Amino acid sequence: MNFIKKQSVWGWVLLGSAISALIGFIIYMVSDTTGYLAGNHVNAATIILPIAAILLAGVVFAISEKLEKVKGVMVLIAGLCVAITMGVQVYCHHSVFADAWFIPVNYPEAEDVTVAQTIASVVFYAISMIGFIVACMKDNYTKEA
Amino acid sequence: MAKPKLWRGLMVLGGFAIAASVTAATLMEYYRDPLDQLLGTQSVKTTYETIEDGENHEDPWNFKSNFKTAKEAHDGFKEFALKEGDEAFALLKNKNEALPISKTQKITLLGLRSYAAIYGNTGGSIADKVTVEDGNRIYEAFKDEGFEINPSMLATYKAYCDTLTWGGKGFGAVPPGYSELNVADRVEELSKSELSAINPEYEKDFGTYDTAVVVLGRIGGESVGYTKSEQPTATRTIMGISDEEKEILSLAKEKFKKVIVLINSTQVMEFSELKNDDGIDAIMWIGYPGAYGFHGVARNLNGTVNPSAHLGDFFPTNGLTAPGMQSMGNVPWANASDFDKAANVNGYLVEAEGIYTGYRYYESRYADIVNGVTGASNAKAGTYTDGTGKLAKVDGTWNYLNETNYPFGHGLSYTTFTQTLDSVSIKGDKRTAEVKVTVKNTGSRAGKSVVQLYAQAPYTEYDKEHGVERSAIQLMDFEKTKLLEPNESQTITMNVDMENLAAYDNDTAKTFIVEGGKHYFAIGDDSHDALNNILAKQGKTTAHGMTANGDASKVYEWDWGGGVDAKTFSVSETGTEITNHLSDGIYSMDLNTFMPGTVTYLTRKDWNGTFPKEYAGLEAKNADLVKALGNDIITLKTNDDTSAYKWGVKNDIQLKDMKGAKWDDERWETLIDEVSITEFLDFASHAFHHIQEIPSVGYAGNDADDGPGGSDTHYFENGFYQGVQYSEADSTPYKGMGSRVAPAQQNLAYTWNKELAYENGQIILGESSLVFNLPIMIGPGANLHRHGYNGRGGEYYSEDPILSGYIGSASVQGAQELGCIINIKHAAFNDQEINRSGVAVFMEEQKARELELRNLKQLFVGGGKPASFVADETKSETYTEGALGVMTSYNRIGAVASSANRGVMVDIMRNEWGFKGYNVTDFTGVSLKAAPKESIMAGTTAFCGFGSPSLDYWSEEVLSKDTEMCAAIKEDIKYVLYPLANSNALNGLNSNVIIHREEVNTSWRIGYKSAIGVSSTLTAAFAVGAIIDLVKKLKGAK
Repeated sequence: MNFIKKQSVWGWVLLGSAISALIGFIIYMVSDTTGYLAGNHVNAATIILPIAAILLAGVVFAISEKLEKVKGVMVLIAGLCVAITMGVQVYCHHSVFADAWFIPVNYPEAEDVTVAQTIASVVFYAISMIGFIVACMKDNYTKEA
Repeated sequence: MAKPKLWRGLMVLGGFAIAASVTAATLMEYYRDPLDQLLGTQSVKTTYETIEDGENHEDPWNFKSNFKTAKEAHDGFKEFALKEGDEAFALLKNKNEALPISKTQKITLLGLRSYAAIYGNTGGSIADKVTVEDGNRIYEAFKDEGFEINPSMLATYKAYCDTLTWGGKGFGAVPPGYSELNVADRVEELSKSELSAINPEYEKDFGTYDTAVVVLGRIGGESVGYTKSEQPTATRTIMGISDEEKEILSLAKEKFKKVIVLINSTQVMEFSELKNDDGIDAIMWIGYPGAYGFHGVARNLNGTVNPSAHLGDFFPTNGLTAPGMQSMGNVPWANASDFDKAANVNGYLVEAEGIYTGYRYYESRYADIVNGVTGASNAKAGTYTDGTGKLAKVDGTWNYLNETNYPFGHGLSYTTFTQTLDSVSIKGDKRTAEVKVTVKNTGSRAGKSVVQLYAQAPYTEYDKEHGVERSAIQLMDFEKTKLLEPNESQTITMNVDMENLAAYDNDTAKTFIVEGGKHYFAIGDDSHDALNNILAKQGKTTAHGMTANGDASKVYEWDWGGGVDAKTFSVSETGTEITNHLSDGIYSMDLNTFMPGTVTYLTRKDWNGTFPKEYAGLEAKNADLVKALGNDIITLKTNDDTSAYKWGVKNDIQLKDMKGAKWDDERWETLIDEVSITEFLDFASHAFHHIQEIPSVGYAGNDADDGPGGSDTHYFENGFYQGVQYSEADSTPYKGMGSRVAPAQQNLAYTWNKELAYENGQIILGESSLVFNLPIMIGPGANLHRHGYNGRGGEYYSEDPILSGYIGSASVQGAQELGCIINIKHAAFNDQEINRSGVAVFMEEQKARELELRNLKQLFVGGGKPASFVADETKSETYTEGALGVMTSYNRIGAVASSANRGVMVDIMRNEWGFKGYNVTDFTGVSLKAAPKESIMAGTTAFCGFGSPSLDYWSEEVLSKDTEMCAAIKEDIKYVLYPLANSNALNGLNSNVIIHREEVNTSWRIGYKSAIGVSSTLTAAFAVGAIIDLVKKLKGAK
């Protein structure tokens, strides 16, 4: 069986989780380094945790048959990384939400964009996390030979 | 096996729940104060413990509220709002005594705003929605006052408005209005066809309810930005009457016996066609009446009270002809993108009109035409109106009557008065003059009259040669009589501050000057009438082009004597030399400093040739300009010897020991040394509606709140009397009602009543401060109206520095009497809402000094004490201390962030005016756009925000190495502690009283703690489950 056909539904769910996390990560990095927050200091956790999650998920997807004993734990850790990332990221951007909420007539349009990007990133991370939850519960990522 | 996998999945879910609840908890605590304000919770409870030490102590509650219960507070605020409402509406036209109408008149309310009335701003000083809903809507108030209202017309508008969204969402107050109608780019009005579509029989009761009350309005508020685009229809501008409004007015004229128009706007609407229209019987300006205000409108209409308000702005036929309108709105720097986004560089305003704003322009140009000044009436296309109210499309002749709808100071009454200028006595040092005026009610109804005292200084050859501009007429002082019965008289003695007559010569003398030559004092019904009186004294008549012959008997003429007097007003009351601070260097407000020869300022020598233009497309290239715009002006020293400065010293003194202490008390230094730089920085960075604790001096912290119209976020159920919450808090019928109930600030100014303004300060600001335990109230709003399109004009007073300054000063003094630390807003030059954060405002120093700063100075130094207070022994202790707080503006002063402009903040405010108070930025946080290090060194004590400074120099480690910074921080700490010690922030405290602040388990705290607990427990349980199953699995494998 070739590699693609070997993957089970849950393997694709796992890959989907990784891709969703990657999209969320990219959107967040764009929001944190361009536009209203250009020049901002980026919190290391918002880089390390999602990358760790993506790498763990990617490795499991690629060689799950060789990781029988540890793949479940790896996917668990990946899911937790994404869950924590969402919290850290919301905390890091809370001031832009505060500007929009407390003084809704004062903030520049660029801040609106940042708020939207942060929300979009969180949505993708949430999708990723749901995928990891499912993937944790169904760890047969490849089809039986 | 299925189970371990289930546990793993649940652990991820549990991990998310923990992360989410911890994040939520952190953010909730971070935004604790605004969260409390939003939810009506109280996360910190303050209690007072008295230690019996056997000694006599003064009553710790030295500032006492008059309101002991929620009911008393509700009733007290209501009583004042109704009182102010009686004097806050200006009768502009009253043809053949159409008004007053009968108390039981049958009326038809016409116009969308007759149902969806505008009670207050859409943002900032919003009228209290719950109060409005409690039977005080326009039609409810009118019914209460006795009018019978056309039910079918009411039902028609109701049917339409029921499709709209009432109220809205957001932090703080929600406006009592329909959100779809809160628009500034078009006029919302229903045409006749639209009315027919809603109710084909909407006209059926017109015959019975045969007096039409047509309401026309424009919204306003924080961040409402009107632009000057001319509409491509019959409508002239957004402030002109729209096509639909014209339809409604035509309908009214056609179908009704009497037509009354109410102008429900604080923006300067343009409606001169109504003034001249015989089909319109009466016009009343009502501004934004406030939550209870339509009771007052009805009482003015039906004669229960006699209208006594007067306009505090010039109302032009077409606002686009105002010189100040030529540079407004969005005028971006061509190279704004060259700057760091964090520096907040967007646009600029070149205020080339100089002192010629509002009536100063229109009356001065009129005077020059009457005096035959060559070219004064020549006008380029687009700078004058064509007689129909539209901008002229060809060059032509400027004509005062074409340009004017109503002059500054205009207001009618149901009775008549005579005013006699009895005497003028100028004191030997020429700094004050005593002016006596007798007012007599010569009519048949009781009423109040306003004495408006104006002056004219000569426009001399020196002025022309040295670029000093002079207005032909300027308000010097004003007073309002008591209620005069028919035939009753009152003599008022005014002590006039002659400094306000001086012009600022920024080119040559570089100070305030007065010159030899004929000067005039005049009284009049309005600014134009007063000017006509002066012109009559000068021998002019209608033959010279005057609009009417004046009365020379109302004028006093004198000669200042000598040549140019640059001494009398060259030193401030603090002994500080008054000289240029805004004309040179990086703090200059004159764009020509950075770009020589760019700006031509408007001059009386050549009205037409120097009429202002926009100056669009400028690039900021000059090195100083770039530096200023970049908000990084000062380089911190890194290794000064600052060992002389002591920080965090454990001295045995607390802030409460300094309660009521004077500024020069020796103990301040000992107290200030207890505060560390870190503690100051923490205090300074947490000022969003908050006064951060300072533990080293025993200050426990407090809440603060907006705004000029009362507390934005506190309601009567949260009220306190001497530290104890109102007993009926949980069951009060006033739940959800608050203190934002009085008419708008602009309405208050239009009362021209200093005593009423003082009472406004006592009640709206002072009592709000005591009832809700808010030592800082961010108000009054006191920026001048540069033109009628500000959008936020209703939260400020007037175009005139004396009317605005004296009304604002009265409000400040009233509030401070109750221990409130007012924050005058904004310092300074907040002339528009568009680009308000970051816009660079440029002008000559003469304009800055004579208009905005002269205005603000009155609030800072306690200017304009009412004549009745001067004459009253019991009031001798009033007006003895200047303002103790200010909020700086979002806009730049020149190119420098307002809080960092040393010229205004230090040289003028602190040194010339002797300002000793708290200085907070607007909502900038500690970010580059507020230029924090420069601002601290310019006397800023706090930055409105939630902490999280985004600058790497914001630390004790960095700032302690610069001597000037250390000295500035020491001063700033005193500027914080002195107002706190002299305010109600220390209410309830004495040397034998200890304050305890206990954290309270609010509903939201219980919520996040439960969430953390449950999620942690479950996650742990899931982990245990996973481990147990794994162990079983491993054992099974063996």
